[in-house]
Amino acid sequence: MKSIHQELEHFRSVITYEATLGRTSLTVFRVSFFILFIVCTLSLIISAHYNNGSYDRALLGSALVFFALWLEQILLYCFHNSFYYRGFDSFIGSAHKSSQGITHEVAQILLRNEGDITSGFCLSPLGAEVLVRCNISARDIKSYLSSNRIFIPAVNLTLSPQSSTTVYDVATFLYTHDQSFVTLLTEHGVQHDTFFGALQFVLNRYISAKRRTRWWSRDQLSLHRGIGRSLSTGTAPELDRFSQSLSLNHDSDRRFTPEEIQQIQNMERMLATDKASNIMVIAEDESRALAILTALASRVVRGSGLNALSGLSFRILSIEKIISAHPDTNSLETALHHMLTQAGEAATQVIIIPRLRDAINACLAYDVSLPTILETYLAHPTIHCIGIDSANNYHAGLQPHTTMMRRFQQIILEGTTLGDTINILQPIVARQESRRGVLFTYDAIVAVVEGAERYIPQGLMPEKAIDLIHDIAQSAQQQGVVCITIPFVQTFLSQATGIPLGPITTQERDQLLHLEQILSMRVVGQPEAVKAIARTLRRARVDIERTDKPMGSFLFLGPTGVGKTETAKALAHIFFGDEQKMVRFDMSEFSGAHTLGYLTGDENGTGMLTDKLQEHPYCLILLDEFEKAHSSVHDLFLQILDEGYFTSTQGIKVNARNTLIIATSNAASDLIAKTSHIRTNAPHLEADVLNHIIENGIFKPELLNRFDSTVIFEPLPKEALTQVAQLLVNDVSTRVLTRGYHLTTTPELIALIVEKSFTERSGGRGLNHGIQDLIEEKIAQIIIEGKTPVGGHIHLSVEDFSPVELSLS
Amino acid sequence: MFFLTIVHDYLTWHYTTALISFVRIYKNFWWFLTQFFSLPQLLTSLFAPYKRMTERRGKLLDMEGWLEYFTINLLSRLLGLVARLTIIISGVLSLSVFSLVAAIWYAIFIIAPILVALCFSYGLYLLF
Repeated sequence: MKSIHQELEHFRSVITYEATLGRTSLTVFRVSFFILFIVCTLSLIISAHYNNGSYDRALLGSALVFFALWLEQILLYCFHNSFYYRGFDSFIGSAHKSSQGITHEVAQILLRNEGDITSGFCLSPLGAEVLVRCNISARDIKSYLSSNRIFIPAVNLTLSPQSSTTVYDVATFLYTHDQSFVTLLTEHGVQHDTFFGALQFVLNRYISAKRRTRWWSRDQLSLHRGIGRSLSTGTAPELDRFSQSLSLNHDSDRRFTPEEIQQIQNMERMLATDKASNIMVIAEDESRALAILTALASRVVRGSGLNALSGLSFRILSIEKIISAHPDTNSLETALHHMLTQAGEAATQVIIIPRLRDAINACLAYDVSLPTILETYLAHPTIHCIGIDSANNYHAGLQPHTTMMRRFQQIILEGTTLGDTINILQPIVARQESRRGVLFTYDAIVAVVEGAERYIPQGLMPEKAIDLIHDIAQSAQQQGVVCITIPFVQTFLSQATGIPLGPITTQERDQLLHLEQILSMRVVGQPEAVKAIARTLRRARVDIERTDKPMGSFLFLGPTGVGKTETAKALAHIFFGDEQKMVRFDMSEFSGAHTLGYLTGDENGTGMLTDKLQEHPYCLILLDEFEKAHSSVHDLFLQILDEGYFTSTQGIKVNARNTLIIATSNAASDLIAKTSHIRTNAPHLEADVLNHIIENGIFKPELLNRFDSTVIFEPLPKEALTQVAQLLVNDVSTRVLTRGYHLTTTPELIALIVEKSFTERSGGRGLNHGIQDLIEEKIAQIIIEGKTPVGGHIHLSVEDFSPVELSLS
Repeated sequence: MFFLTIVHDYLTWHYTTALISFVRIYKNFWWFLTQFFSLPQLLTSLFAPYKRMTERRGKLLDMEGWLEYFTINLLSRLLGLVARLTIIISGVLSLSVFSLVAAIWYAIFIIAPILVALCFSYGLYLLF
């Protein structure tokens, strides 16, 4: 094995040339000398013909010089390429035997500054891009490099004994050996995963670009489709008519995870079997399934797949096309039989049917049983069929067709991980960056992926992340933003969804820090409840809670009229900026066992909860009188509180992770009222209230535990009611003002309303009636009588009411 | 000094690594041409019916049906043979031309350093 010193010597002349003239100069010189050689040769011919050869000597001399220079440049180009692509095969995983030594990029880094690897890395094009993607500016890098630190020379680097030493190895070496470099990263908030994620991201882009330029390699040559294959393989014109070829160039930049590569190999084996060489791909994301099938088809064309699959042609069938051409039972049945017979005779067709369940249902609408037709042909070894559908559709609509399904072998594609999605996004990000003139930091890309998953309920990953990348890049371009960082992504998401995300503004900071005071302005006499809510909301805002459950969930316990619903309204206003963002369910309507279907949907249609969450994915869900709901409804919410989603009867996964869920209950209100004074001094007695609820079977303990916070609302004392009454009268004043009148009331009148409306059982709820019966009624009379002109002042005191009016209230 | 180093490095590469690399690239293109013209598939199915088009066998005593079966299948196989041979011949010609060009290039490559020096110096001699 060569030493690092020998390796550097080996690369030195090439890197020095590159540093002096650049790689592009090779092409410029080569093309220029070729043109000059051709011009001189043509001139020589013309001169020999017309000028009696008077310039022959000079032109021949020039032609020979330019030929020599052109040839020299070709040789130099080959020489440079040999170093430029060194170790590349092992890097992309297609090396036939393991290669050792360093790659061109490593040589570029090490030879830039042999006494200081860190400086070489930071100043190399690749390293600089990694640091920019980590949101570390060029100025910070410059100041770091000029700081007092320990230099690590290139000779300290140990070469990998099994494979080529790549930039990844150099970065790993730096991360473990250069403490000052790690400090630079941590000072900029860059953790290990971010740094290596950004490195991998940049490397992938380099590899893609480099791969495309190596046109003589087997993987690039195999992209060309051959001719003449169909002469031996036979054709299926009917299938060709109703299907399209799986385009091999489609998504050619798409990368695959080791698990996906394993699945591709499994599919190859399944297609090569003699019996039932059909596959059912169960995947939530159809485009991902198609991308994997494209990779499989490429392997077959390239000849790197199993020999038994050689010559197979992959076609995506469109059932809609067949139906539109044959819109009646007999002709549709005949067409399907004809097409499948031809495909069987051709023996080289792989028929891909996306959304198999829909295809079956579409045929069923014309009284044609697709499973019955398919099962006859699928047993034949010359027919290959690949069905694609989601897990729900598979279980609900395909598994019951047992005879057909036993001809299929299953492949289940699990959901993609964060790393996989970022890998998939890489070419899309690169395209958007060059088109829009922007740059995404690595963390911003992670934020896009996480944001798409969490805050965008419609659509599937990675498509929704791809859409978000497009939208954010466009928005950044319009705003003149060049570097897209996490705050930009969060602000964009916040504007799109209405959920407060991103950096906390000064106004919002004040609001969060003084949440107790703001809530207390609307919720009177509940200091403990307000504190508990404020604490939970602050945690939700800074995103330190679990992301796989709703943003916040509360159970409000307490008697009627103590401010539970008002608190929910106030929260909707504070958190979503609008009280209308509150979706209220009266849970007493869901007390029967059959009522679960009203929420999640049944055979007659979609459910109320499904509809509301799809219409308002970001909202506050208020579950009034939660204790009255049936236990099956409680179980549904147990799942929602725990997982943040539920599956509707139609098989749709409904996301509730962007909601605040508030359940109110009068359960144990008698106990709460009785023990109110004792509990004020001994808060631990709150447990007694919860025990009482569990012992009486009102809520299961596991359901109570799922709420972020169980808040007890105390009965309101009479003094607090005066405050509530004043707030309600203020509401009336605001409404009256919109009609053009100014309203004022005396404290005595307020006190009288409280006196007359107060009962232990109804709390503040009676106040509404009192205000309606006395104040609103009186204002209506005054306006109708025309005693006060528009713009005038209405002043109400106890004296304005007759004893009869007072007794009526 | 740099010029001498690069010349030394270049010549070492030219007569070691480069000669092996060109053989590998030659193999890549040979593989590509055989795949592009589907030579393995066409050779193994040289006498197979054209695009698998065949006529089903008629009843045992139906002479006309038998005749039709023989004629059509024979024609299909003949047509297949002609079509395949056309592509096979094109493929073989391409491989031959490619091999010839590759051999010439290989020969030029071996003497290239001398050729460059000779052409350049003789060119300069003619010029001045």
